Amino acid sequence: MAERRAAARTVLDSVLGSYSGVYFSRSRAAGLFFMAATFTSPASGLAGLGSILVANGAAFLMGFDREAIRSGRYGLNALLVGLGLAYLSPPTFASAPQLALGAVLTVVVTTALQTVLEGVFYLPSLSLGFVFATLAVDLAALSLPGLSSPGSLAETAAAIGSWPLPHAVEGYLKALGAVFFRIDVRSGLLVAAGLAAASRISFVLSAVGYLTGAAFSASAGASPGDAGSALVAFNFILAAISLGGVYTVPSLASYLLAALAAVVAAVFAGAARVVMEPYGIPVLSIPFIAATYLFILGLRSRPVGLAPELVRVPAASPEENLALAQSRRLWRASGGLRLPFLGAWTVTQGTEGAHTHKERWRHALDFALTDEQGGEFQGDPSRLESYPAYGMPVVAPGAGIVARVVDGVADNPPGQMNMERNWGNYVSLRHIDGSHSLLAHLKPGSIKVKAGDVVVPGAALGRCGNSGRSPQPHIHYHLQREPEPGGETLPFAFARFVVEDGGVPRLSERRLPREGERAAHPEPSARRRAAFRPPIGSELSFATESVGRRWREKLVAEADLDGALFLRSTRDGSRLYYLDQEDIFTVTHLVARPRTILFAFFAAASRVPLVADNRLRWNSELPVRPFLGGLTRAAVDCILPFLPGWRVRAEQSFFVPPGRAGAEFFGVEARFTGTPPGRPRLGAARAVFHEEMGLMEASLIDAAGRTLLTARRQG
Amino acid sequence: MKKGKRAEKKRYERPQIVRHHSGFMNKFGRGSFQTPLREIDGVPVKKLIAEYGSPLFVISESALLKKFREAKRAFGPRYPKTTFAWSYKTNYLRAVCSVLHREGAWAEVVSPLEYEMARRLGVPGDKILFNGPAKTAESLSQAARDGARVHADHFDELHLLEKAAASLGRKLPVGIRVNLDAGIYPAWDRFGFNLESGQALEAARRIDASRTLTLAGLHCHLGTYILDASAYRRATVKLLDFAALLEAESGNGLSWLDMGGGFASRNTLHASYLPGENLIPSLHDYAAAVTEPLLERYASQDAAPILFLESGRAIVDECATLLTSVLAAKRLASGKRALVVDAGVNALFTAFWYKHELALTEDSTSFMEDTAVYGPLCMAIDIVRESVMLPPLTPGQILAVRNVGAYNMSQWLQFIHARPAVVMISEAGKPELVRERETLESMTGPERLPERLKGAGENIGG
Repeated sequence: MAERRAAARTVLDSVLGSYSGVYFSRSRAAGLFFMAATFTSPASGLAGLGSILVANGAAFLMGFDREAIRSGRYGLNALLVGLGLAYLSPPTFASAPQLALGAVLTVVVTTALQTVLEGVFYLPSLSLGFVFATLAVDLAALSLPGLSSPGSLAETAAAIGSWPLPHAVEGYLKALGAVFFRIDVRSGLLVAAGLAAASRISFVLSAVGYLTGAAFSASAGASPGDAGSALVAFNFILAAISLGGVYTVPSLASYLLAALAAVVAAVFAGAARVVMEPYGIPVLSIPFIAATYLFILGLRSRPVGLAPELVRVPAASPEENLALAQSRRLWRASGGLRLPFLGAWTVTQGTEGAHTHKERWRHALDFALTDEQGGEFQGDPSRLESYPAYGMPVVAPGAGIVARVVDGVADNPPGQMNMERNWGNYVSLRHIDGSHSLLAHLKPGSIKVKAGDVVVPGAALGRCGNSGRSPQPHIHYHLQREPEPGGETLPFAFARFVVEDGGVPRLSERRLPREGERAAHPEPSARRRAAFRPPIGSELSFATESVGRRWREKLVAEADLDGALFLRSTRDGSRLYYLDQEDIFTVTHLVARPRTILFAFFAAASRVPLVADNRLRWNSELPVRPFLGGLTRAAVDCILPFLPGWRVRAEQSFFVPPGRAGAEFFGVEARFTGTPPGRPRLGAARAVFHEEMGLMEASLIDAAGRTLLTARRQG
Repeated sequence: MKKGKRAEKKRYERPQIVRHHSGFMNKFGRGSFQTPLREIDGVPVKKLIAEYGSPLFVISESALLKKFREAKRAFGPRYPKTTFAWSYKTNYLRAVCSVLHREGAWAEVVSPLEYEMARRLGVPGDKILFNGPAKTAESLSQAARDGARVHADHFDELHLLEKAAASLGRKLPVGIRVNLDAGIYPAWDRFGFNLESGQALEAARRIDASRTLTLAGLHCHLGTYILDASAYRRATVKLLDFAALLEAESGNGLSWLDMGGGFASRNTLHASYLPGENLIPSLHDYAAAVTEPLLERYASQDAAPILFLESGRAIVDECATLLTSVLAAKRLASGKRALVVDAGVNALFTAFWYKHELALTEDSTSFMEDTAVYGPLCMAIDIVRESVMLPPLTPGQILAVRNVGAYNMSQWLQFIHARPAVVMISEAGKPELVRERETLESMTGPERLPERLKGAGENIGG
């Protein structure tokens, strides 16, 4: 309820702020007056208010800065555009779509201009957005008469509907060829074939762009199908491709953006035609460039990771953009917090716990040491020393700087609590993102760090005690914004920990251990890690055998200019990009066909926790695309942007490789659950490693148990 | 008299005469009450004796597991890279070793014979710590091939090791045993290389200079039954300093640190007035002493060495009991009571070291008298307890000698009497025979009587 009221107040602020901002004011009263002024002509007042609401809504949906929306920056420009357009041509209900378009265009233009003016020249953008957007729409209206004197929606629909399909296809093909100034169907067909071979996503986007742009132009009164139109329409195609998959990560949101970009390109095309055609100059690619710059500038100011996601350096194709973005997400998720102790501890109170982890302090965990029966003490329960947790080291859960240390609070005898200094002795640690980790109830005199010390994850902070609101020795951990304890706890997760599940240690990732679970940090093994760090420049020779064919190839360990590490096959140039971290090995990206040694490596060992405990089990999720080849991959590429959650799932474990004596050899196995795509269906993948020499063997096994591929290390 | 049911005959308890001392507190003046040990892990003692004979070693698997897990829990949260290696010489019964291996313990062996025992149990070579001053060239070659971790004891052994490693084709990682002054008495200096005199540094340099060996670990076993936990702290600090010096010289970091064993158990030494359990540090004290210097030195667990521990006594001692029957009750010339029981120092070697705790196995009078408990051997040294307060016992009654798990079942003597059987009570409470009682066949099996002497017993002249 309080949230709804706050939201309503935000909306009101943003609306009134738009009005008052015209005269550089933030006063809501002023805004009311100005709004009333616009409503002296109800139609234009509605146009103005409607534009504000559409613009703010669009800005909100596109993920722009909330504070900017609330301050009315987008609404201001949109208001002026709406009022201006209403002034130039009195609005009716039918002009609502055009006004909405104007509002959305204003949002994008405003953000783009702001990025340039404020970021580079340190100038306020004022109402330049209004100027540009109105100019664009006004000029465009001269060649797209539907913009200024809009017919009814029915007329628009009829205009689009009467557009015969063969005409549309012809227009599309001609537009494709028009980039090369070849405005005929044959060239268009060749271009289409080339485009489909290059990238299915680009091909689909080209169709989306053309249809949206052309339909918009048709509904706005331009005549489709003539040569002049083709030379204009290619702009829609290029705008859609560039903003749908090349400079953004392909997804549903980016496809919608592509459609919007095509429409904006159409508006710009209309405006440019008015200026240039009197001189006989075609618009060239000005609409496409303007639309692309506009959107890229505009999208830059949004938080990273929000769809549609901008790509800084475009990869070889939109498909690669998608794959790389998925792997970037994986890489970002690899870091995180670790458990703040050594060995296996039990969660005695979880988040939203029954005792003290409630309401504002609900995101917190209590840990203690228990024996097999879950008992927390051995011997006399009235002595602190009977509790095994007492005196055990407490370590830093993440890298950071010590913000606050409080020591000197005495331990309570078991069963008693200190309600005054309820956090007892604690350490507060500031992480790089400004949040603070709090470890409380420590033993007096045991805290080894002081404020200002830099700590790494796992560094000793102090010892578990029984100070503060603690009836028996335990560690309390939570994450909060402020350095002083008592503030609201933030939700958090541990990157990786091991839970014993019926005697089998299982890796759990990016979640919190639940009450009653016994969790331990997976202790890294430097020797296992060495298996996944081939010296850059080294060559690993393999003899591979797959469905009757045999061949030799070398895998070379290389690093590219960005510092990304990868293995490259000398036989077919396939590449496996990986991330070398202290406690886990991750394959971030694979460029390889499904029946190759690098694919087998990826399938078996896409994620390997670098621990020495061979009993560990874990689950992996692999991207779908590498499992497919040829035409199936091409077909799936078209729908992959819309199914970001489609993954191949595998259960993974270590195994002792038969026939290889010595602990330096270890095997990693992935058993695919569900039905992974591709034929024949894969059942499992295995890889054998040597601690110093790295990959020794890799094999793929189908669902029936037949070996599809085996690769063995030579030399 | 009830018909059909025979009333149980009450046991005759002879009268005692106890002299009272006046003037002091009379420790004989009060009765003392002891809860008898009627069953072990739920199995009645009488049933065990009836089925397996007397004397009888009884090992409790539950107690063994509990103790081992307790040890792991004392060290794990302090230093996760801790690995326990079971010290075979403490008790190399296959059942005991197997229980511990199943719980993840490696094997620590001190002779080629023990090495073979471990291999026969299936322990892979790379999970064996091979210590001891008497390793043969052949056993070193075997160890090198198997990938076992060898801790060299002296320079002559290093020479043999270098040769053993030559055929491997790569450098063999080895450790050296180091002896040092940890502030306790006695300070053993006969095992390994001495640190303070520079001998250990010399050994390390010799290994660095060799073409077939590389120094990867340090081993230090301070002593046995160590009552001062801070000795471990001093030793660990000295070894870590030494490791830092070695790393500065050779560039190789320490792969493992073996702090040996020597943790005390609940038994009471002969010279001690207070009972053992009041004196000994807890496993947590030892753990804190060893792990704190390690944690201080290695902030990141990645570079930290593996910590090996070779505890034997602390894990197994309290998990076994020796059941023995009274054979006779005597009165010595001084008037002191004495008992003759059927297990003496032949079965209970640790009677030479400890004043073992004796427990009664059935109800008795609460009046105790000072008794000497002697074994069945015809040797004056065969004393189980010189002086212990016991009620009057009669032949056939069973006494339980407690905390006998360590060293007895490996160090027992085959002398005069057959060595007893060993029973282990499983976690589920079922007694299982894990070693048969010795027989004449098993004793004399290895003997070869020359033909000319056969039948000598039948033809005694005169």
